[in-house]
Amino acid sequence: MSGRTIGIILGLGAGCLAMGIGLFYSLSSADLAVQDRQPVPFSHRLHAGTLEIACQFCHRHAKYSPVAGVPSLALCQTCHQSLPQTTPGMKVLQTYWEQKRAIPWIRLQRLPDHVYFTHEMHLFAGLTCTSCHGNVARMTGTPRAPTYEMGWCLTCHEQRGASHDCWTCHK
Amino acid sequence: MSRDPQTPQGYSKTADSPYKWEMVVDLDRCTGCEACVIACHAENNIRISGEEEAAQGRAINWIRIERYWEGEYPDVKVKFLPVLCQHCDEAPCEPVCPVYASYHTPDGLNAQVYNRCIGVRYCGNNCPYVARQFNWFDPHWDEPLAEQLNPDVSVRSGGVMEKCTFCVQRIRTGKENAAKEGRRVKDGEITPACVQSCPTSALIFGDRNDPKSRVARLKKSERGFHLLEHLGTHPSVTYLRRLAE
Amino acid sequence: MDLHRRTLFKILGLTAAGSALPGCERDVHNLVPYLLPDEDIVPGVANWYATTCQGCEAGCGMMVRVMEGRAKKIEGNPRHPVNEGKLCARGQAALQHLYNPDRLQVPLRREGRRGEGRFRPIPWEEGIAEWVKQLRMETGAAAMIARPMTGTLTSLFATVLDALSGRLLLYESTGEQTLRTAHLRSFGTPVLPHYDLAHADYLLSFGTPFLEHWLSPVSFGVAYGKFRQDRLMVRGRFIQVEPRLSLTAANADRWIPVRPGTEGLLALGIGHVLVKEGLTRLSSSQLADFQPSFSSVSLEHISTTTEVSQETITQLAHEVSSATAPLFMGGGPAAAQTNGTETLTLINALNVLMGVIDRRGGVQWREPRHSPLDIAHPDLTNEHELMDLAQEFEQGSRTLLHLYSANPRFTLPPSLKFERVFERAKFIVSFSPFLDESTMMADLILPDHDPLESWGDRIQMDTLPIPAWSLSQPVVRPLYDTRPIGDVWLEAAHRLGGSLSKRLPWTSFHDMLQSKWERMIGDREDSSPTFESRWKEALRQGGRWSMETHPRQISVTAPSKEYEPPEFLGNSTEYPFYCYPYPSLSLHDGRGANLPWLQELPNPLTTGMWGSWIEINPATAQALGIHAGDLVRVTSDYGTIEAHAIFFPGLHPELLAIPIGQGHQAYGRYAKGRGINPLTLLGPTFDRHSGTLASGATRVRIERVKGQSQLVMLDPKNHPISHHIQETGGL
Repeated sequence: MSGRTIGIILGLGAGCLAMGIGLFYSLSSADLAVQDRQPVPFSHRLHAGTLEIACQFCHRHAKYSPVAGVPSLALCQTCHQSLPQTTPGMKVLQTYWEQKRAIPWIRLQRLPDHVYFTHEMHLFAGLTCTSCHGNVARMTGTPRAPTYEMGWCLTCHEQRGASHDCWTCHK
Repeated sequence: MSRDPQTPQGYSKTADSPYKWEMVVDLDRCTGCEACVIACHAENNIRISGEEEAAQGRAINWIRIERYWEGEYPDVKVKFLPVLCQHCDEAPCEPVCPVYASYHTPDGLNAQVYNRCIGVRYCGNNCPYVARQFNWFDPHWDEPLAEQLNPDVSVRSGGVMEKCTFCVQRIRTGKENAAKEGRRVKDGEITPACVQSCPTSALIFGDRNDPKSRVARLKKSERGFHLLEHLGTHPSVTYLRRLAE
Repeated sequence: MDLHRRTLFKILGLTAAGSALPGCERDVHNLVPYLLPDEDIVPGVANWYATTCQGCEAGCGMMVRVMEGRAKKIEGNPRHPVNEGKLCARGQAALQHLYNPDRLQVPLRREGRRGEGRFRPIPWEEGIAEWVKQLRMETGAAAMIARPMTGTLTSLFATVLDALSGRLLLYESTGEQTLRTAHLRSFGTPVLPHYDLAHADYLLSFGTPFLEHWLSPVSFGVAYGKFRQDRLMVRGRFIQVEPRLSLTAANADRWIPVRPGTEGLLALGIGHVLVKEGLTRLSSSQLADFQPSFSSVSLEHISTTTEVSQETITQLAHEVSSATAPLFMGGGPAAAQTNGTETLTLINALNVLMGVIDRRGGVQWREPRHSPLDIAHPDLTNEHELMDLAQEFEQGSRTLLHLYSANPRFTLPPSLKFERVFERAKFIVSFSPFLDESTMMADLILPDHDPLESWGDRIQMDTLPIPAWSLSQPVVRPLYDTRPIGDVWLEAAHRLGGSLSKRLPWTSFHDMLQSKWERMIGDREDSSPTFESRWKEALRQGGRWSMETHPRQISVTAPSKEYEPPEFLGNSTEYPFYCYPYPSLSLHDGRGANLPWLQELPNPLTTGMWGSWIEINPATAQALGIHAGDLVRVTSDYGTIEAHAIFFPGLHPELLAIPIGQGHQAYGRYAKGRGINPLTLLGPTFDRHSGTLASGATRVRIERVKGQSQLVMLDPKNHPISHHIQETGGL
């Protein structure tokens, strides 16, 4: 085997390895594997799109907390208790309510422990939910988290003249 | 000690911040009671090292009370000295970091970015105050002690250098609250955990850019001095001498 | 607020782990929202709840930071009159009490021999039924040893035990019983006054460790800061007299070492100079009562005995007389002798001579204008009464022992033979949250909630400028299948039935507490109309302290004319050293030893942590061939201990000092098998008047022994700052 062939094989091998690592990394960071297995088949397209419910009606902590929050089951029930149970999803919801169990939603939007992020200040700065989360009103399934990588954050910070001091976002 | 006035990222040290954080330690008030030490541990998720690691000098304290004996019986005196990161304006730990994990914030804080740190420990070796401490091991809390951990502060893993941040999480919250109301941070609005707990109010924290702040006034006291002043580190911690007979 | 809090607990009970917890291995993939919305709870935003610290007798107000149902941080309550927003190391470490891995989680019943430490979990019903059965069987023979407490819970205990002809003993080894006895003799009241340090300009303290653990250390810390630096033209001057330079003495302008037990004599000498030179601030008629106590003494004799020069004594008297607001305090080692009460009455007399009673910067007693309540404020027990109790158990007139957060098997010297109680008791029930040395001997354990999970209150009349009624409220949902001790006692009372059941009609301790408070704050002229809103306001604030007060009536009595010298156990030839076991700054009487934060807190004077040591004067050690770090053995007629020798420059050459707190044989993984308990050395000798153990009155000897000794220290001697200090000549 010539040195050239060995070089090619080694090069291909290294490339595959890099791709594998990259895929592994993206899988773990974006929760692709679990994204559609929510305990209740909830549709943002229906709620935010068709019904035009404002984001912060359900994610009501966003304006005054670092965390946007997931609605309590009681909040779901304010509408759903007066609706007929026409879909299997609605029946699942009703079961949770009757059993007085909270819905264990799968977390899709995650940031590492070394990042400090607050919804409150981003809304205060005039951003809208769609700026980061995309147009969820058009998404049927629970929307996949975009890759919240530092470069992505910094681009926006730079454009808007926000701080890019490390300790603004790292804790 | 002189160095490039620009930090590696190209920010000038005084750029775009109206604040410059400063701490004053009044040694005439400090009693050495160590309330600050526990306050710091609770606030900043500082690991419990245990006897074995502590025996190897690997216990971590962001603030410690040093004590010095003077004289012999019966003319003995003890002096206490709380030592924490001095947040030097000319910090010796910053230029030696190969990955810019140690840098200066626009507020004048000496910062450590844990996710950048690769653990070469140059910064720790270069700090004359022994304020930086290295995590030789991953931290561990016997369950359920970890329930107490503060979500506003990262848990540092093994191989990472850590140090006092002046409770940057509290500074951040204070600045956010001020920003929401469209004002400057008020004097006394932000208190790091050690300052908050100190029974005798020996620790005072504030913005030295605000001429009316307590720290700005106190640091001009004739009792004032800096630790290892001759090294030219220009610390942001001013000590006030204890009055003696 | 109450309603919300309860719903919160219900909700949290129904939900699993909340949003992201920190920690590298704690990625939480599930996002569990609350079932019902609660306007008090916003994920990611902290709530602060006011409650009261139970770490010691001081009763500081606390604010607990709670996020998503977990307690994260404890700070002082800025509105509380005791601590004004500040808190000591031990108070802040209460979080590790709550989240301690060694907490008792379920009721337990003994298996195997008593003290073997084998227990079996049982249901609550079985536990309560068994206890009630014992109460019925052993009528008139019950006794309860509990930590010092006041308030509604104490009333409950007292009511139940009264009905059963039982005894309630509130015990703490650092309970300052000697001081109360001295105040009763000097001023006609056992209530401890407010020492107004913040406004004094000269403090002469005889041993009081007021910056460490004496009475109300945080309150004194706050006052000390003001005493030193808060006034424009005045910086208070502070002299500490004691044989060992404590942390408090380290802060004094001058430390005056004296021979152990002679503090009262020095006070007598100073009083003598004041009287002789006409420097007192009493009218001649008032002075007439005091003159006899101070006139017939010889300064020369005092100087030889105390080892304080005549010039110093005279100088101190002159400094006192030139001060505007002098203040005298006595306690700690000065009270730990057989003449403790005598010593303290002489120090009290100095306060009288200088006319500082009920003055600004002096010694003040305030009491509420309207006596508020029928809530119990029982006296504390001393070691002598505990020995009486042991006698009763030996004779069989007491058979049923109850324990609640008191650990006499650790805090009493073995020479008092209190062990008899644990051997003779027919049945032992413990309500303690940890398996400490005493609870280890229990037949039945019905563990209480943590204080941060409990309702409670506290009535403070001692040492405060104004009386305070503080409230405790649950700040987190109970972690385990424990029950509030108040609920358990009410349940037992109902099962016992009869008049007791009628006197305690409440179904829960919370209801009992609320009804007591309803009487207390219900009839006040107040802007808020309903009790409910006042109750909420009290909970928000942490209690109630804005009440009208007036000075308490006191009657001043002069000290006895005959000075009582101290007496020591053991002769000075065989046992050439005095020995003083002192409560540790971090571990107190040993109760802090199970908290890793406190174990890892370096002692400010020796920098030792995670262990025990024996302090020795360096010159003495040199003469005995002892080196720093040697393993040494200290022996008395009553016991022996071995530990690491530390050179302690601020120590009387004939004194050995040893911190109390380590040497646990139980009490969880952080405490067990670590260091030594110096109380082992002490003999049964008591203060003559108060019956308190004279913990400094047993003589010992010391020798070097072969073997390794290790103590973890955070010694700064290699730190560059020490070179800086050498170069620049100090701080």
